[in-house]
Amino acid sequence: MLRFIVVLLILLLALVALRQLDDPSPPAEFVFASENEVFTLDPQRMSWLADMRLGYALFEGLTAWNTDDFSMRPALAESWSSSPDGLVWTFTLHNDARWSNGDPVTAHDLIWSWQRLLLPDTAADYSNLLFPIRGARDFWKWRTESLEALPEGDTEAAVALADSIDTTFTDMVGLEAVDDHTLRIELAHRVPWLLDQLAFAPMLPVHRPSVEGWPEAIDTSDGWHTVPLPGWSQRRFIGVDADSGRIEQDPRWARPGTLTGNGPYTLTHWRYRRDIRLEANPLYHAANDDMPASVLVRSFSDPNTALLAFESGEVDWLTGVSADCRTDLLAQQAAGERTTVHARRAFATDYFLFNCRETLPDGRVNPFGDRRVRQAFALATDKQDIVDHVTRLGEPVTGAFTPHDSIDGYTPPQGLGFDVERARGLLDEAGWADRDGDGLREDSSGNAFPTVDILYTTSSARFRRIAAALRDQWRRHLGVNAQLIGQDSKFFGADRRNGNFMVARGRWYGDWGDPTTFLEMCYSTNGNNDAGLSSDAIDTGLDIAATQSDPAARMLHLARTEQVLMEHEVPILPICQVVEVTMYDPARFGGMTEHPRLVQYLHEIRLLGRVE
Amino acid sequence: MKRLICMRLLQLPLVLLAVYTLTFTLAWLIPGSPLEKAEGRRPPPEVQAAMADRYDLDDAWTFYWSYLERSSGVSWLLGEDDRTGPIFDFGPSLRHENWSVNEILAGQLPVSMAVGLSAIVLALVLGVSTGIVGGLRPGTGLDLVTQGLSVVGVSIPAFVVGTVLLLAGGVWTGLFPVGGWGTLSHMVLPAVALSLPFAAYIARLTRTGVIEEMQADYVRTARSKGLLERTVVLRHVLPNALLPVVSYLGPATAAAMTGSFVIEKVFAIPGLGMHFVDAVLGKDLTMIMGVVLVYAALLVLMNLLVDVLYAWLDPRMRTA
Repeated sequence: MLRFIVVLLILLLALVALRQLDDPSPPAEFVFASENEVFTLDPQRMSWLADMRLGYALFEGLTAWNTDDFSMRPALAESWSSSPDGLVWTFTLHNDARWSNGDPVTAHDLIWSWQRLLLPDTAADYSNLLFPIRGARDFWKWRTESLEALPEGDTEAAVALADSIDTTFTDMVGLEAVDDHTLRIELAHRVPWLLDQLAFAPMLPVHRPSVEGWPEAIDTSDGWHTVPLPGWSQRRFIGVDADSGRIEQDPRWARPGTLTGNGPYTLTHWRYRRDIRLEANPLYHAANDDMPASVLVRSFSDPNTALLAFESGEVDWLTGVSADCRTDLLAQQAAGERTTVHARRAFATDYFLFNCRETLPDGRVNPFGDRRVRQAFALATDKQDIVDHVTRLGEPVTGAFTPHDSIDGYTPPQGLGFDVERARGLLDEAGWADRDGDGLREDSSGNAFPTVDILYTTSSARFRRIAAALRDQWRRHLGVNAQLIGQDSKFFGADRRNGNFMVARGRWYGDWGDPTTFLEMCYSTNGNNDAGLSSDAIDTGLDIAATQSDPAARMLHLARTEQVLMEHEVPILPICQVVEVTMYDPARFGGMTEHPRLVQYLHEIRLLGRVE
Repeated sequence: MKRLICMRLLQLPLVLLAVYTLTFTLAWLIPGSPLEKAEGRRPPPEVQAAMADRYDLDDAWTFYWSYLERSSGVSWLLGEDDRTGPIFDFGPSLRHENWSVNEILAGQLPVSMAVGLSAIVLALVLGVSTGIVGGLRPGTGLDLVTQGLSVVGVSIPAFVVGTVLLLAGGVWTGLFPVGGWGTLSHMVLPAVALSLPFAAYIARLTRTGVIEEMQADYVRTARSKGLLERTVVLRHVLPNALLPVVSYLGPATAAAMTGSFVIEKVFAIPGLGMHFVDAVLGKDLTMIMGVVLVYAALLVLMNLLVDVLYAWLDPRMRTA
């Protein structure tokens, strides 16, 4: 028996020892929970909303949004002007803007950060945001081609090439630091949403000495551009790869201790998948006392637990509630039993994609290659029924891809409504009719309409339910059989990208305040054109819009292009605008945005009940 | 004994190599790339190609060997990278690029181990005591109750137990925090939830063992010597009856310590189990390989530990 007690004691001791490894999180003024994990805090590498939210807290871009109507306001730039043709923009930076280590924020910081964004070596998702800048595309090409031409394993040549990047960029690209606080941007063509894009996370400036890991001994207090660059071996987080010649960056600079920002907050704690802690940055040029002095981001991967944590008061703000009971929560809010549940329309559309190719990868004929079939299926879809009985979040149904009331000056088209008679007529016209009276459609040689595969991801029950509703509606209204194919996201992604589907679900978030953030997905050569649509009308429509200088005429033209897309070509069956459910107590917190763009600046949150 | 330990330790690298090869093959077959999002905007194809090349994702053979070299410590022994990195370098996480797999393991494994160990301790106390109670009076009402409880313990899914515990212990009474990690009170609810199935199984093993041993000849001898019933049970019956529990303890401890996906998800614990599942879903190759190798090593060592313990507890095993 004694031996068993000894074993038990050993286990207990091990337990106590393990406990020593841990430490609790210090309390914070504002705690919010994110169901989506933070992937990176490196602005140029960001592509997720949860990452960008923190990006805006740690860094400040040239411009920022007024989050009530998403008009533009000065941020790091205190003012700007543009030439009459809209091709040359001059930005004046705040004189007292500082990095969190005290270095001044200069025009050189922006230029270097954008060079980093553009550089193929950084492999940024959003590198093509910069292509409208004069010479940016050429620079990208130069770097890609000179890397390919590099003899393999020639370290000296690789280093020489890497050393020439800065000067080549300055020579080639239309970005110029007129002085430390004046930045000039020359565009290759007009970009009506330039100011909007400058506020977007990948365009945030980063601090070169921190990103590259320069030795502490180098004094950069007048700006890093005033001192000579340290050698490659001295830069801790960056190096030149001998094999490929590429600049290899160690992303671990973006962590507490090494991350230097210029935003309203600094990063004091980041424990992987556990919590992130921000504290007000005393050097921020527009610092104010009203914002939460400290913010804690807690990570919950189970939506129900996140909800319980909110209910128990441990969490002040749930950014996105995905628990199944959220429809009940909304009903309680509507009945006045709760005040903390808020449904917000997002800048995103839930849709299904039709494969527009004539054949499927396995050689089968794809009935959706005929646009009349696509139109028929879209017309036979009762979206209101889906929203009322399946998703039940009160989402606005839509026939357009671009969400309504989200972009100033843009009215999306009506698109195709619910019209069963017309749908049946179109299918008849396309040669699919019920010839033997069994209620199902066949072509002229008696072959039944192929069973329609509806591809969806199993990550959420929502998509399976919508897909099932589509199956039932199409069966009922069109006399066509469909089957559900649920897939894990990796398999789904591969099939969707390779065109191995007939109908596949999708959700698209807009990135900048212009319809092209949605419509470009349907451009024939766009990398996201999974539908395989190849339409001259759409391509020329978007090309023309890119050259139009009158904003109002351009918006009208884009609306007409979207109308052709949604009513004639129909690669996309939009279901509804996405509604996100968020929870906070409006009596305790103010400054929360209600605009569909849903960018929440943490420093705009106000603690209403705070005792002064 | 020494031979056993030596043999097992010599086998360890071979076991790990086999596990590595098998896991790599399976993980490589997951479609898509770890660097790619399931949906939403995709980067330009050139960028995707550059990233794939950087992490050797364009060539299975290169990845297999270069990762094997780094993770096995060969690179370190050969002095590449001037031995600045860790000996066993599992590389950067492909999906959480600000972190290396070593850092993630170092941060998450202790959490999983702490929850797992406390669950096992709890399960031992609960399981052995109810097992003895039932085993000494088989067929009585008390036995039925404890047996019933153990069936319940095995059959209620962990996410139900977890959510009920969170509701009762966190939201309604406010006794414990709802999810998270950092203090002792964070550990109580998940440990209880995790321990129940183990406790139930241990209770059944103990009960069977006790019933069997109580009928053995040496028990009659002990009783006829006039020993107290308590002494008979504690001194003579239990050490033998608990041997199956000890052999179960090895794999059970390894399983509990390497993290439970459901428990970690429900209680928002930053442990390994959940992130391993996420890594597989996201095809985070370096993370998958790192976690599997550490798991495998842990399992082999745990089993070795149990064998040693076994020999210590049961003299009959020592010669074998």
